[in-house]
Amino acid sequence: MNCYQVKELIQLFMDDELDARSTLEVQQHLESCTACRRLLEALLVQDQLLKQATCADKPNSSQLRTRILAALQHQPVVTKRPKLTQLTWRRLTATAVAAIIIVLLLLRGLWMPGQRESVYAASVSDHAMHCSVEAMSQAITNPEELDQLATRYGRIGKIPDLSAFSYSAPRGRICELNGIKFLHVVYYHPTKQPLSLFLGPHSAQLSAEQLTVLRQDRYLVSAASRSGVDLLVVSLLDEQQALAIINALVAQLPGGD
Amino acid sequence: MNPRKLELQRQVFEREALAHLDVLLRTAKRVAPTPVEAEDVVQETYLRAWKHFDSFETGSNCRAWLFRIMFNVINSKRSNREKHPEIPLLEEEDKQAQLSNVVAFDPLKKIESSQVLAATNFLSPEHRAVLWLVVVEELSYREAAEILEVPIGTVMSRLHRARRELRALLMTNRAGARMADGR
Repeated sequence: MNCYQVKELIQLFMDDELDARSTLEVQQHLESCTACRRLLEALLVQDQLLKQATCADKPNSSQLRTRILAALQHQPVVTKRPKLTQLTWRRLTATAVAAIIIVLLLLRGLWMPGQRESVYAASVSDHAMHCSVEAMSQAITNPEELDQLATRYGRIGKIPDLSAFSYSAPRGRICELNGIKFLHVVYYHPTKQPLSLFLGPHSAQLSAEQLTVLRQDRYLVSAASRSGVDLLVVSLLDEQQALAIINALVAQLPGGD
Repeated sequence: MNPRKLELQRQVFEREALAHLDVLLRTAKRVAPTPVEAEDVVQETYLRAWKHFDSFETGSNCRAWLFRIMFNVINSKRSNREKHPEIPLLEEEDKQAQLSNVVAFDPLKKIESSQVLAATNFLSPEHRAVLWLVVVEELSYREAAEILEVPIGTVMSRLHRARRELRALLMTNRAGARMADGR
């Protein structure tokens, strides 16, 4: 990649909007080009200063809050008012449909209200769609390139090592779970089903410092957040094995045990 | 709706939506047609959000949903203003004060965050909005496109121009200050 191409992509690079392959190409160019690196630094500083100034501005919203709450008292929620003759029928239909949906969701283990749960559900479906070698055929496999992505998304110099659990041959791609960018790495086992690791800077949508293990459908999702990094592991393992793996991963993060 | 259900819904609204009040107000101060309208814009946003809270899906991104409503409120205000233009004298005075704030920084010192903030006032409302959503609120291009109801390519080009203009503005003022200072 030359300077012209990098300048075209530098904004997408700094906003994490590039795919894994282009991210690596820009990163590799930046390592050898001082001029482009300086441009990136200048833009990052500019963004950082803008963020700092905005965060320093803490608006006093207490009066506005009171005003809004008072106004809400007089403001009805829009609800359609069906004709009286249709009301009972519609209510019955709606209740029946809702009940069926809830039962189906419960049976499928997908009843997960809340943003955090939406991220977990998205990780399960992303794993299911991309865990096969065929689906990951375009993914990054070069260890050095994977390490670079791990640095960018997980602030660690090396892609986490799961060889102690016989998981190897990692393949990486960038994905989006409920609007959050993650590095998605799939590890393969000689006899077991593949395992997915999602690695990204900590998002407000996930709890900090909390270790969570939950079953979704037939998958087990274990999640943790340490040192400003979110980790999610999706597998078909049992709880004990999944916990051992997430703990081993946490230990590989900066400041890990 | 029966009073018990209404009260319950109000509690959910307070928890889910009012939690973003500071973020909305902070953004409105920067993207509303005039800063003095920021509180009105936010109040109108919450009233509209409450009115249509039935359509909000719990668990989806409430902040993005509120932003979308807020930009609709802002667009309505802007189109009303275009129909009935009335530019208050204060606005021009404010701009002059802001300009002197940008120009007056010491070129020997590094650029300060307040100067970057003051410089954003010289960007067009469209460029400022996209800069705020992506850079300050860290929303993805896709989310910003949905909020502003524009194609994702428009978000990218506006953001590119906004960053370039901001950089040029800061560089020009730094150079101008140097020249004025005889450096």
